[in-house]
Amino acid sequence: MSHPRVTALTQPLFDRSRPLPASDLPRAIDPDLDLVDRWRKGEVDAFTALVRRHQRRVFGLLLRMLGSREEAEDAVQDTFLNLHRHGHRFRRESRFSTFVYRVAINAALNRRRSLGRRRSHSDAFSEAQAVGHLGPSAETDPESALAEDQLRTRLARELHALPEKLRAPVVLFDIEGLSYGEIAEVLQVAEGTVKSRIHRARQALRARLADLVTRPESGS
Amino acid sequence: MRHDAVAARLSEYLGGSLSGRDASRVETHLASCLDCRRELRELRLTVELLRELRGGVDSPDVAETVRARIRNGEAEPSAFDRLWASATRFLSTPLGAPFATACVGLVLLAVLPRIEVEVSIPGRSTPAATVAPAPQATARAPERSRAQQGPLLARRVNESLSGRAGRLHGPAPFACLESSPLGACREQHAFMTELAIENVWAFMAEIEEVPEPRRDDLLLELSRFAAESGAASDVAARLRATGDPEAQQIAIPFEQAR
Repeated sequence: MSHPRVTALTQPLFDRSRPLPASDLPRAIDPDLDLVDRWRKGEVDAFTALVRRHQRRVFGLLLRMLGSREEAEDAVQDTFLNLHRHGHRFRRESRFSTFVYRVAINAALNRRRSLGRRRSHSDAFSEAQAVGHLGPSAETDPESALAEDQLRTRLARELHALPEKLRAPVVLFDIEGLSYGEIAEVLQVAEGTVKSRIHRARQALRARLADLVTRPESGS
Repeated sequence: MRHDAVAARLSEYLGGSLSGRDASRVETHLASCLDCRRELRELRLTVELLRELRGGVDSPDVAETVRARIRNGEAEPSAFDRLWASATRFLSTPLGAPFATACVGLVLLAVLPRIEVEVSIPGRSTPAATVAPAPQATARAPERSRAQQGPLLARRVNESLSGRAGRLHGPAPFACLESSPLGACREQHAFMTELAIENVWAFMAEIEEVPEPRRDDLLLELSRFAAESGAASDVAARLRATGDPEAQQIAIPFEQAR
């Protein structure tokens, strides 16, 4: 039975279902399978359609992982070229989109390794601005749009400051909306590790965003 | 549930992924723990802030670029990938499993006889390449390494010793080599080197009592025995070192038999 004082806190933020069964995903669950089949039969148009379908989410993930719009644009191409190269490794035990995320994470890691320490700290700030890239929307007034833009820039910067192994799971869970099981598959780690890393990432962000999230408890 | 345990699971609780029983325990603890309530509230706000980053990304359209690069051959699978893809496709067919089983069987058939030969390599030689068991040779092949000879050597030397020259000293000493582990064989081999040398000394001591026509045969047997024991060089060197003219003559067949 829930206590009245905590009822407001107990509503789940996301209505995520449990991880999907690991085999025989029906086509109704994975809408990409038809295109995948056509691509495997040699239809280049089918692969192009898959690229168009996934590029936005892949780019968003890479932008948050790499922090640089320029790097993310290169990495998104790497991702789809690698996907085309290694597509036969997709074994339908999970959604195709999960497989794409896995290829994208690997592309991000490879790109970061190749970049090494060449990137200066100042780059991170321009990257953060790139992550909060969208300008003010038509409906919002300029002042609030500026505040919103600043907030997104700040969030992107704090996210980028996280260690990579904490950033990837929290981005995939809280921003991309993957389940624990899917993230475990993307990152090739145990589901318990995913949960632990997400919690540690959130705690680290909570500390870094203390000025935004610390408020007195209402009614206490 | 203890405070630390609850604090570690607040993110899961927030995401609604705890079981009903665990969630109830967390709620019980939250009702009495101000710190956990504050942490939960701040985590919730943190997550809500992160959700601000959902969407809102102006993604470039890379589809045509990727397509052009694929046509340009930049996404060709490697030879390994092609091989792997073909293999997995074939193994997933109804013929795949029987074929794989047959391959494993053939590999075992090819490997197992070699394992027997490798285990029975005697002596001090370096590890040799695996070879099939030696065929029944009618003539000796001097080029074969000692490692290739193995138990066959033991049988041949024992047969030889049980005939003529071996009667000079002891019973068939390679008997253990035919059936014992490699370590024991090595010890036996060292023993056989000494035995070969002792046999030569005995031969030299009794040479006057051996009929003339028999001497060459006996010397030939001794040199062959020493060669098969890997001791011919040592015997020849020991004979040369004596400086005795007769020993110099006796050393010749041992040098030729190496």
